[in-house]
Amino acid sequence: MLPYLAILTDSFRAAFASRVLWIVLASLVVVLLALAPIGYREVYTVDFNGGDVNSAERLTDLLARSLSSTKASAAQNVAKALPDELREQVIKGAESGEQLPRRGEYADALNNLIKDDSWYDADLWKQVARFGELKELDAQDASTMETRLVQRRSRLRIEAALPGAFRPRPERSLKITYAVFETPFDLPIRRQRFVELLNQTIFPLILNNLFGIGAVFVGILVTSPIIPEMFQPGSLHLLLSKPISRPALYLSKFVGGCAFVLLCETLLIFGLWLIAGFRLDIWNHRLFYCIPVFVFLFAVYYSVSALAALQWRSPIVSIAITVLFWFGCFLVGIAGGVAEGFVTEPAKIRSMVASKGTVFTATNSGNFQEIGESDRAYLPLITATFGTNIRILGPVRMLDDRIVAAKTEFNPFNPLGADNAALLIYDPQQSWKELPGLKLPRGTTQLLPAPDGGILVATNSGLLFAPADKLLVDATAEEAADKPADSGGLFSGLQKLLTKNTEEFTAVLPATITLSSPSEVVLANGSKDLVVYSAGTLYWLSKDVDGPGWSEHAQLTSEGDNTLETSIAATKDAVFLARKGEPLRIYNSAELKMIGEIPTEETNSIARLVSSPNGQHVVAQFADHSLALIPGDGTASMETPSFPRQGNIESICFDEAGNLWLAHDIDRLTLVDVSTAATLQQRKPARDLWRNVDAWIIAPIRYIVPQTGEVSEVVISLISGSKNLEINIGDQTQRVQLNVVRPVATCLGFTVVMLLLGCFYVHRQDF
Amino acid sequence: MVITEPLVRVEDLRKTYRSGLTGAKRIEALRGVSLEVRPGEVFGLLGPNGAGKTTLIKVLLGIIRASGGKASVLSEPAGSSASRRRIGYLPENLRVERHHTARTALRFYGRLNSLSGAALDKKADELIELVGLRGRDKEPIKRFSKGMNQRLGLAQALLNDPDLLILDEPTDGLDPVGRSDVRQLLRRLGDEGKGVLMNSHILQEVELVCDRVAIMTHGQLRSLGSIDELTEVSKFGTLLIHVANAQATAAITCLADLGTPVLDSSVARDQVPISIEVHDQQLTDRCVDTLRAAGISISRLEIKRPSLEDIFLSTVKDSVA
Repeated sequence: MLPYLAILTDSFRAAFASRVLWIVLASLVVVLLALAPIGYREVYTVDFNGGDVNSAERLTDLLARSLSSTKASAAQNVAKALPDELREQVIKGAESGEQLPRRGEYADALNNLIKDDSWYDADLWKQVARFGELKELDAQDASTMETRLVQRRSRLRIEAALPGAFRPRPERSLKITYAVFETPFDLPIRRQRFVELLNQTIFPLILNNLFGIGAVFVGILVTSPIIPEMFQPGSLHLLLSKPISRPALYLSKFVGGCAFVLLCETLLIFGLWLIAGFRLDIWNHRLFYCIPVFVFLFAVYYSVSALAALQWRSPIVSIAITVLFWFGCFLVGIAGGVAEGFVTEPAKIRSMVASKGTVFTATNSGNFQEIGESDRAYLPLITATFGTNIRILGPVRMLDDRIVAAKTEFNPFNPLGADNAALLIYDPQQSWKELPGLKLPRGTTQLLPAPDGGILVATNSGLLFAPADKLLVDATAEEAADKPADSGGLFSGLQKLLTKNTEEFTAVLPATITLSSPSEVVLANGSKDLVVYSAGTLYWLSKDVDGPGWSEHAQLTSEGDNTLETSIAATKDAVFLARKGEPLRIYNSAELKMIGEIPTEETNSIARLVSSPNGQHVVAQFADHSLALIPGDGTASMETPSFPRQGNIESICFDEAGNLWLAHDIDRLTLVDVSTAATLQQRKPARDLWRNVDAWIIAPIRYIVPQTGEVSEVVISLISGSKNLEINIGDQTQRVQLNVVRPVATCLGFTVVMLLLGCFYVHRQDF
Repeated sequence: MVITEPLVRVEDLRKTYRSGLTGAKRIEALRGVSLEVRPGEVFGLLGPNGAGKTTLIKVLLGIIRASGGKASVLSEPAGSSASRRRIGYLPENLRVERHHTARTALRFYGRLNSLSGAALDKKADELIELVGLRGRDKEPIKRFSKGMNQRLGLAQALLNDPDLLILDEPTDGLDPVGRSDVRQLLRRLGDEGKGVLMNSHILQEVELVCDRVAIMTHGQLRSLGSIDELTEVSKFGTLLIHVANAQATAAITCLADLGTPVLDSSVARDQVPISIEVHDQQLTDRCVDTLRAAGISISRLEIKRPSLEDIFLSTVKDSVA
């Protein structure tokens, strides 16, 4: 080994002797010095911004009602303290339903109230629901509180006075600092999210650009002469006369060539690690894992450069061929990206439901389709045209086996749910013919079947019910309903806006309960009860005996960060609450007392919980597209069943019999017995032309050509420790599975082949 | 260990280079070369450019593979790792990477020979002293002259205490003192029982230091033997007879029956040399007897032997013919 170690160490010596190395290292030091003053400061979340207003309609409604009321209220105090101009706008907006104050205007006005809390009346605020933090702050002596904390308290008082009008924000926000400067605005994100953002986006972005592109290019320029120089007769013949193996000599030179990139990376990553640690208090040792990854990435390109150098013995030719190779990889990567973005990702199943042997699936692209037991392809029900941003609400199976769904236009900048969407009903009695249904209330976010038939609709403010026999509409009735009802009065406009064409829906939640994001409503399977989660508060609701509504049976306000993405499931015995980054918590149905906790991986959170119809099982779908089973009786245990295609599961649903349908591998379906994990049925729908092009041409090429572009995903995965990239679009979280295996496998395979070719060449060649 | 076997044994060695896409274009670089280098021998390899000398050395070092025949070095197949471990090699136009100093270069090449630690440092010290680089050993090589590079090359070739030294133009770039040092060194190595195979264009150097010489042209061995053997077997032998200028014409007339006497008229002195080719002692005696019988006084008589250069040029000329 000694001779080869000598060649390696000599490569390091050569690298250190290179002026280019010192220039690059100096440049990297400059970059690090430029980054070093970056820091952040945690401050209390005080100021409102436009995005904090959950619904301008609801806020206008609350303010206008309080102004018109003769009874003093906290909301009325807030409304009266608003600037006259805005107050008039609120009243006018409520009357006409048009030209409501913009959210930014509300935010500015409320921020002024925060600075001067003369509008506060302790007696009035005793009548409103105050959560933990506000109660604690109210109990403190204001004279001992710092200014920002007093302002924080004012904000919480405004939020309490106007329930359901604001999105919950973390207690503390961040101010980004650079040396003595700091951002004039607060970033309303938790530190945990900030760390995630850095680990998932900022660090990978810096490293991928500096090393994935910059260092590889500079490295190839610098190292391209190494092999040609070795081939100088006076150098090569002497080396070959030594008692060393030729392939090992070549490999040693190759590995030594990577020394340049290794030194640069070590400096930058060590510097970043120190900056992140000392300035941001993020001691992320995973950054160091990137060093071998980027050396590996460089090695892929250098293996091409080295082989070209063997053949042509010219640095210029080596560089030219390496650039051509890079371009080839780039083209294949682009083709793959296009195929993923336009062919495979849109075809993946987002949600599904099964009824009477037919499975209805909604895809990412907004297609809605069905497939029966004997079908060889999906039958399209709703087809999203290219360029539209269609989302399917639902589908859900009602008690009478009809399937209900709705088509909405999704706007990431308006995450308030569906607007002008109508129910689409598919009846098994009519061969799943599509029947037009009721128009949905504005801001619908969720559909779910009511336990006694009919449908429940969650909006961004409440829960509404429509009976089963009123769901269908005919075209004539719809037209009539479309005509504006001009009843006049203070709230006529706003009422029209809020309840247009939705007269068949009845609000079913108690007045004290509003739905604020993050929220979810689920049925307690095995009973007729409902469980509601709204901005950190969990409610168990029992069905009213003599009406369509539900009454609060138990309530629990969660401790900690109530802005965390949350999923819930419920059975007649227990409620299962999964908040991102926290353990799965299990509460009993009687009092919502915690009866168990199941730890989960910090980097692989539960994305969704689904309970079986009989309430025997709860299935947890993880961010890494795998499933786990939890007993529905509330026992705090979780097992990973041997379901097929674990890690590739896109969506799940239970059929009427309690068997579980799995959507996996884009759009394939498998029915499994939950208890035994046995496969009961499989459906492999035929692919269309582009799917076949992707499956038979693009995908195989991507397994042959090294996917160097995807190495950035490996970097994200390594730094963040997660297998998924979470992208927040509005209130929705899109999880992109990070491809770690393919880039590593293709790059490794390619590099090994290149090196073997090089070894074979030097072994056989006469010099 | 006393080595009695030939250090290098080459039998009917052939090497054909192929070029072109199909390998149809062939160049025969070695055409059945056979020779031996014995222990304690300084062996010179001579030949014009393209004669196959470097090809032969490359085969011995394993840098290229022979197309036919046999070659063994130190009783091991030529090019084997075992043989290379015991060879010291100085290539022509040695190129040491520019980031080295003489000392670091010696350490590097020493490690390539699996030497390490104090033993390597000690050996490097000795060799730096030996080749006259003391005081310059920590200087970057990029400042070295060609001669200093050559000294370093010699030092690295001696690092592993080789049994066989293969030197390609070892005195190239060296000053007269350096050349003399190298000659002494090679002689000493030979005396120590080690073998030296050197390839040089400086025939005087070869003549001074080599025990045996092989002359190659066009991939074939034309002559092989010691300097004396090569010059003695030569058909040349020129008798120079110095006579008085006044008797020169008579002397030429007398000698005309014995050969083709030539008067060197460029020498305008009292005594002039007349040269005549002789093949043996009998003819030499007859020349003297004939002149004396004619009353011609011989002031000086000498037999001029051919130099190695003469032999070399003649061999090359013959091979071209």
